[in-house]
Amino acid sequence: MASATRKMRRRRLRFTRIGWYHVIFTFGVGGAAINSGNNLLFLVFGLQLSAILVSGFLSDLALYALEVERELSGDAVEGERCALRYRVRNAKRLGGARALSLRELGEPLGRGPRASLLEVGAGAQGLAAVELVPAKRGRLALTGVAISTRYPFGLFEKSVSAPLPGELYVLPARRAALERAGFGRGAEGERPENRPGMGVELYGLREARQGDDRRRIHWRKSAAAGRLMVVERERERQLRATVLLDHRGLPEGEALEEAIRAAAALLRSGSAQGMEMGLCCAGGVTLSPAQGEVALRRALRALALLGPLPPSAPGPRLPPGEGGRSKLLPIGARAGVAP
Amino acid sequence: MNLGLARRVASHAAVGFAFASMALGGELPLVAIVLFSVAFLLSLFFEGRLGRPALHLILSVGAFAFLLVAWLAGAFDLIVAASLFAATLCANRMLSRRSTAEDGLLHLSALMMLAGGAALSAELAYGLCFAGFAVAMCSALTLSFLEEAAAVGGASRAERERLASGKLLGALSLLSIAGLAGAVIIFFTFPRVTMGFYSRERRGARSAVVGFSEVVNLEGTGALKSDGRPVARVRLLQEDKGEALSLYWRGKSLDLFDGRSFTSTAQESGGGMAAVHLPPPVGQGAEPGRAQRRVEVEVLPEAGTAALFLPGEVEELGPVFPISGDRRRRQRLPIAANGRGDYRLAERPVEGFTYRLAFSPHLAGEALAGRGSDYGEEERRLYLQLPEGLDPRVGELAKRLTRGMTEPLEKVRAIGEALLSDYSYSLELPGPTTDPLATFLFERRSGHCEFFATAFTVLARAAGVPARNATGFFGGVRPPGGDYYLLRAGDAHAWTEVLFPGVGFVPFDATPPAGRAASMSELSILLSSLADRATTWWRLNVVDLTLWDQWRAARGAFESVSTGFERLRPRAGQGVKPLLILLLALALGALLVFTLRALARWRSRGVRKRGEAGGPARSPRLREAFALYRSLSRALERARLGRGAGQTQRAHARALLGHRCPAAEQIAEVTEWYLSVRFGERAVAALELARMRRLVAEAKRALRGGRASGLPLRAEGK
Repeated sequence: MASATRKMRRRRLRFTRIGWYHVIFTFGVGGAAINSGNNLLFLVFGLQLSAILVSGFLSDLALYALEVERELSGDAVEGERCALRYRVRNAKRLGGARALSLRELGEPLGRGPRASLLEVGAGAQGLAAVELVPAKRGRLALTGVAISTRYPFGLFEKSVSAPLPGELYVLPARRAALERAGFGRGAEGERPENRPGMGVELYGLREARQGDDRRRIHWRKSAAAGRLMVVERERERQLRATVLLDHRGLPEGEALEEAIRAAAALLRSGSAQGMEMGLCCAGGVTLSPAQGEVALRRALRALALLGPLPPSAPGPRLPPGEGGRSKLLPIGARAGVAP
Repeated sequence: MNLGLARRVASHAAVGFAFASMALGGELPLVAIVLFSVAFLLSLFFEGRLGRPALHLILSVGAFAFLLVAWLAGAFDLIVAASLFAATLCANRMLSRRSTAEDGLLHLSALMMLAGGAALSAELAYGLCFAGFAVAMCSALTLSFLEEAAAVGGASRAERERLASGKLLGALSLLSIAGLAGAVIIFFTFPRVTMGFYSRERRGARSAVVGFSEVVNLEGTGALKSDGRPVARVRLLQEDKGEALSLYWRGKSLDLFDGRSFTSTAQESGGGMAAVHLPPPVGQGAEPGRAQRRVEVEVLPEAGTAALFLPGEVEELGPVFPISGDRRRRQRLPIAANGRGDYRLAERPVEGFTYRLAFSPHLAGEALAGRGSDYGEEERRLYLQLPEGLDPRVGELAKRLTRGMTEPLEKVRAIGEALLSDYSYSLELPGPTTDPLATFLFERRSGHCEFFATAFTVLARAAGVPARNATGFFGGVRPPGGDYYLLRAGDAHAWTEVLFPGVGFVPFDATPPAGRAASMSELSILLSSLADRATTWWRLNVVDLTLWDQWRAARGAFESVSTGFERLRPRAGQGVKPLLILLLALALGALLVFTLRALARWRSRGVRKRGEAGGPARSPRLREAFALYRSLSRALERARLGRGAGQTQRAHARALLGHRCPAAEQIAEVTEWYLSVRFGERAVAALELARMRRLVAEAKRALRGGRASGLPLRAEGK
């Protein structure tokens, strides 16, 4: 979860359609009152002006002392739904904030759907979410959040905004078939490394030392030996594979995207099988094989940012010493390993 | 509370008030009122189920065309036509409503009706409708907006119900009060500048409520004596502390009796006088009670007459002005006279009129004795006239009552005493009779003031004393706390005026005193006076407010403030100066607040800067995050679950998970969070900090429990 909190600043005002009608009507009544000298028209004029002023004051009050926090549940995936969640806290002691809507500042998310929150009581907090379906991979820069409200009359929309920098990576789309195919059964799991560690296989027995877990004591052998013996497990080593993506000369478009998606599918598949996965792309992107979510995310983010390369660009380059240790998975017509 | 139902009620209340404000003007055709009422009720009960919007659009266009033609043909005034169109739009909007998105235009059309009402009506009732509209409209706009926001946000039923709570009702009440108060403040402070390119006089008169009539018809019906609605106000222009006036306010004198009714044969001259000046009456100032008095009379539209009501013997009358409008620019209204001491306006202003007059009370008592019977020919012809076919018993009664008397005053007194002693006051009418006067005098022997006045006049004439009937009002009561007297509908009265040579007409009243003025309960008097005061306030401070009034009020407020400061100013010789101390205390307080705020701002800016520079201490929250993790590590050490040499925090947390250590999940989450906060270069939210505090507390509790049971040893792992 990524989050950040900001107090809201910078107010903006925008009239709604019906708000414009009311303003025009107010000017009309004011003009009629001044023209005719009819005091009761001045009274209606006063009511209209008062409604506008009260509305402005209350919407200001509703937006006052709000804190917003953006929560990103993870990276988005191209073509899949993801949620931007906002936690809004009303730090006022009195007075709730009603009918709030939240949106990202800037392009392209600023034009997207808005998250709405019906009411946040004084001192309380509320959660709003907006669902997005990113159309293409990449990195979306999140600059800030605007909270707006049309409360109480809907005559105009007042909004406050605050810089809330962040970024949302849109990872390459999934290729389900490729991910399911994986690397075959032989590639699954971990390999014993013939030294003690935290693995599953039995490595040996040794005399218990200070700090050993009681649950590892082999009671039968201890009884036979006359001293406490503990079980030692064998250390395990993950399988390693490196995806070599050579996308030089691929034009920007479906061919490039498909190559990137295929690389992402291999990375996902290997990672799901517990392998240490690395990535080498043309143009200088090189990530050593590593296991786990963090490593996978790093590799996928690197793929998300890949752009087209000219044929003359340098090809994929393996990290030093990785050549013999890692299974290589080339993708792309010219995929090969640079010396 | 149901949000939709509350919105519907508020919207309809606003529309109802707006339409009522127009209808109060009395200029809308009845058919329009009926049609709108039907549409209103239908939309209230069958909202969203009434026809298609296209049909209502066609109806609106049709109504527009019809009203345009009607206006061009002169059937409707422009304002009335525009108001009717606003009502049509509003009715169509109500009937064709499909969703909350359409409420904005509905409320706008209601506002148009309210503006139409402002042009058509000036009553206090408009003010009440306006207040009702303001309250209902604020609520309706808010509820409609919230309903729409709930629909757009996809709020569940439970969320909607939670939103429509008592708290919202309280907020709506405050909102309505704020809206109304704002309207009032703007109304009184907005400069009253006018250009006057197009203005329209109000035409719909308030309905007259009075029993005052310019004829006395013995077969007719009049207002009840218990009708307490004010019809005129009288303000004495000299000091006066009386509770009631005992004056006869003549509106019309009547000379011709046809056996059933008294009418006037006088012809009004259309001279159009601005004011009337008459010679001082005979004997003015000779008696202590006959000093000249000056009064200001306001005849309200409820009086329903253009007659000027005059007490006593008038010396100066006028000028006459309309009640409403800028008092400094009002036009004088022309006065017409009929040569018999009656005055009236050529045309009755819709909003009533006001005038001043100077008068002396009539001569009375022995001052009228010995005036003789030297009447002119014209006076004899007019005021001794009796109808043909008058019941002979009337003449006989007059002779019997005045037998042996030669002095007119004696005769009049005898007749008056006889009527007072032998006849009683009753509001019950005799029903259809061939001779109502004879029925009163010889059969029923009871009746109301018109019977007494007519009988008195006819008997006086039969006894050879010239007399006439007069109609108008009697009395005038001071409302509680008022500086004026009220004439009420029930004060309408008829009496007799007897001609004395060299003096003129003097009122004589044979009606028992209890039947002369309105008979009302204390509560009715209080209520009618309150209503009158509210009406007066509304007229003076709202309908007739001018730039001059605003200037005067502003100047008064400024002077009040200046006086207040003068009072606070310390006097010479005083040791302690309270004003100075107060000002110093305020200044010190302000300085303290300013300093504290500046300090807080400076401190937070410093924290931000250090954070941006990537220094060791970034923010208080980050420091707290470190402290939290340290305290968790210490707790783990105490439970003998501390991190091994070379073991990373994440590996340690995983090892704890693997060994099913107590609270391992919480520890893992706190560890991940700590790492992300420490190395992620991001801000720490208050909310997540609170959650982590809770997790650390839970983990510590669990570790204490685990240590007591003696289960876990050191966790191993990478």
